Amino acid sequence: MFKFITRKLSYLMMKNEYKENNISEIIPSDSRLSSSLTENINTIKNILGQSSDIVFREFSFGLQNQMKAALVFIEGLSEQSLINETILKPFMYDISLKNMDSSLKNNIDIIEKSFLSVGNVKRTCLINDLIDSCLSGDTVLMIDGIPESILIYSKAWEGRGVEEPKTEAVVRGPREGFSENIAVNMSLIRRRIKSPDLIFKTLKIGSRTKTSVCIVYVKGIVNPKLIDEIYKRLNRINTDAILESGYIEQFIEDAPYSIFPTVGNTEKPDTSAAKILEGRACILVDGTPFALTVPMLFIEGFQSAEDYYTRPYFASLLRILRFTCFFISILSPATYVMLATFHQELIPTTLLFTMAAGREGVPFPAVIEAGLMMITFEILREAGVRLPRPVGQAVSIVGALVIGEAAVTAGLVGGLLVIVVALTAVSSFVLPAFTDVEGILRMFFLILAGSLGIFGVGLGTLFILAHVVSLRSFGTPYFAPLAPLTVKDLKDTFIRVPIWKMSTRPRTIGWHNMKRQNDNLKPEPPEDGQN
Amino acid sequence: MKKYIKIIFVITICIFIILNTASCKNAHELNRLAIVMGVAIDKSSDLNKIQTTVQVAKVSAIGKSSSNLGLSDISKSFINYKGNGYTLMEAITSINRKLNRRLFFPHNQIIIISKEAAEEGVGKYLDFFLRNRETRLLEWIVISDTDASKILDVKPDMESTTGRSIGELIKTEKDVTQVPTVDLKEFTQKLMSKSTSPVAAIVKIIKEDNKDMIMLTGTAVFNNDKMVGQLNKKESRGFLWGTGEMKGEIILVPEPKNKGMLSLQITKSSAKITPEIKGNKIYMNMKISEEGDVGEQTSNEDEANPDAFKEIQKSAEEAIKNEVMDALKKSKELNSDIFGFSDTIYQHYPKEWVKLESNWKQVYQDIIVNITVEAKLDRTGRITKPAMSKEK
Repeated sequence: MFKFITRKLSYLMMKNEYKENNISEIIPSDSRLSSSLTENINTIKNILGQSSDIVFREFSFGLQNQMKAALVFIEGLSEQSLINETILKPFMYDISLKNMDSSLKNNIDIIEKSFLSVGNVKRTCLINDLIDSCLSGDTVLMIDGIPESILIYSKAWEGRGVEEPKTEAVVRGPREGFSENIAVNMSLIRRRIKSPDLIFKTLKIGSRTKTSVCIVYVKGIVNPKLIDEIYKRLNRINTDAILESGYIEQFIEDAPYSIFPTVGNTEKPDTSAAKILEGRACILVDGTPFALTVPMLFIEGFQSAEDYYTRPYFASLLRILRFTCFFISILSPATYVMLATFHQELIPTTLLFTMAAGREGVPFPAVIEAGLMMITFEILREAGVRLPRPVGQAVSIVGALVIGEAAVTAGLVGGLLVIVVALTAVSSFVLPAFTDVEGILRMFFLILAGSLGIFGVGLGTLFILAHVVSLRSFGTPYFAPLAPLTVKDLKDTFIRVPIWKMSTRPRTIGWHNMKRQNDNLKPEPPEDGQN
Repeated sequence: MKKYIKIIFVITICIFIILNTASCKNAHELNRLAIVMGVAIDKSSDLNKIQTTVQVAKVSAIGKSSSNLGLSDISKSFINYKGNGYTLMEAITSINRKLNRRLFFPHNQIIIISKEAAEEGVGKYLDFFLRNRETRLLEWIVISDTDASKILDVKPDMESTTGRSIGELIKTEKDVTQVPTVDLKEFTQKLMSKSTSPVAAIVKIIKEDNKDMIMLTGTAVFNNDKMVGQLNKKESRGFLWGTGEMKGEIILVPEPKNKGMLSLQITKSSAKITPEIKGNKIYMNMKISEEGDVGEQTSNEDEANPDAFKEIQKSAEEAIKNEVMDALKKSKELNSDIFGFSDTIYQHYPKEWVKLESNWKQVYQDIIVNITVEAKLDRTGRITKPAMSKEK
């Protein structure tokens, strides 16, 4: 008991100690710079000085070097050559700066306007602003005697370049993917939509991470209420860290308890550009290549960027194939179990023999058998994703042997089930947006099939359908255009009509500026006699 | 929070209700089932009893044979169980006392009834198959010439079980019609109708190269549910013509000028029966139309001309008419209305039918049937005149 009290007490003391050291909470938000350079440097050193990556560079310039100045920047975040060549060099060598008089009050104006050959320059007198921009890579220039500082844009850090996205591979279409740098990501979208109507609105979210979050939309196409709603939801977020767009997604989604995602994500700038042009808004988050798109519809999971780049026939075929795969992926183990335990009369006689022969000597009931195989598959998949690449190969070989060959030979599972699970596994990768949903639904239906047979599966389907239909994503019905049925939007669901036929934007997303192109764009060869 | 508790409570209750009414109770794992492939019904030596033989597929042997051993190991791929009882149900449940698995009927292919049993009436046997939820109405009904259980003992060559073998045999027969193929549904429909007589195929074991084989030989004719006689091959064909089920078979006709023979391949056939009552007399207008190709020609005469075609059509019509007449004659002999005249009369003359019904057996004998056959020869196959033909 006594031990417990002492432990509690020491914990409380530690807590107090920690509170005292919490820097960001001591500075009042409106504290300003003073006119003394040394005082300013000391203030900043007090705030930032504990870290070893902060560089304070003091120097002097002007007539007989009487003007004192200091640069503050963070090593590795700021571009060294820019600081050397365009800031320090002119101050030290430029003859007109050499002759500058310290008595002039508007020195800082002259320096900003005439001597800093850097594009993006800001001025501030607030210490908080100064610290924020310094921490995000800007260089701070402070001059003795002036209670103001110049923030010079010098952000440059090592990052991954624009590479091919890992998650959404295409055969035809651009290979570019977003990177971790939000500025690069913004430029990738801007390069695709060169319109003055394309708007980027940046916010900072996260009290400690101060992550840049950028809402991208095209004014005139997007529903203004959607943007208001996004702002409202983003401003609600009051957390200390946003490390990935997934954080934002979970804070703003409509149905947080649903297994269905109501916020879409993409790694491809062309996909996000297309979605923005359909009337959606895109949310870019610094530090991740995954951009969010809202609103998200159920059918978006079945659409791929390539559908629009290839010709419509094959694209439509692939659409239908994806819908089939969705059902195979969630229902095939359940169907197997339901047939093998409840409805043997539904199986064709020859197939029944094969199935029965496979089940002969299997020690578990079909539900357990299927459940085990599915768990095995999930384990292998997870191991394959997490393991370092050289080891991954070993896992796949062992997995193939274990679930493919050995389990059947040992008589633990029937041969047909291996085929069912393999088909399920392969189909689940066809729809990257729904892979996790499918995993959950598969288990859900498996349990229903094992306990209630075809009745259970029917019941489960109804339940899921009712749930999906009830969902909304940022005001748009999730199951649109199927429910509510919007006949004109069916052009891009089960089939994808030719591009020249898609003259209007999806009605369910942006009702604002529907017309995308003229109606008479069908390509036709010139008639005889002309040309 | 209160709302959630209520919802969870309701869902739990629903789950309990569902689990108790419609669930695991009905579950039976595949490897706990004995899949019935054929049922044979005989009269037991004990007079009032029924002996039933149930053929159960031995799936483990079938699964193995298809993967490793080929079809050589077929002897072990089925087991026949026999049971006795006063009712069919009793006989079948008595089997369950020696079988460690549950008999599973939906995949049953055939019901074989021995001739002896069929002559006493099949109604009492079929009731089980009609009433039971697990059996299907698509089981074929065949009558065996010998003991029905012996048919199930014949080892099939192509299929794994005798039941399936006969089932497939009958399915093939549907395309190459020589014998009518009847399933439980059709049989029962005829049994339930006014006075149409059901028919069924007859199977027989024949010896070929010292090996037992099953063959469809003729048609069993019933009166109500009692078998009263048989149709031979020609009469069976006549019956099929009359019911419009003939297809895929051939007609043999003599060549018009020469001594050769022509085989006509039937491509289409249909029959329409319309009754006509004039005074006391009942006329049946049976209109049969047939279309066919020249399938084979034994002489070297060039028959590919309109005149010869007409001749051939005429003799084909004659041949068809002959066969139908034979079948009619036999049916009148057995006094069973196999063509379903009674039903057509009932449909066309419901008022008159009431008067005729009581005296139907006599009326049937007096019915006058006008048969008109329209045979059509369409094509001559890949060649027109025979290869040996020297005419230009």
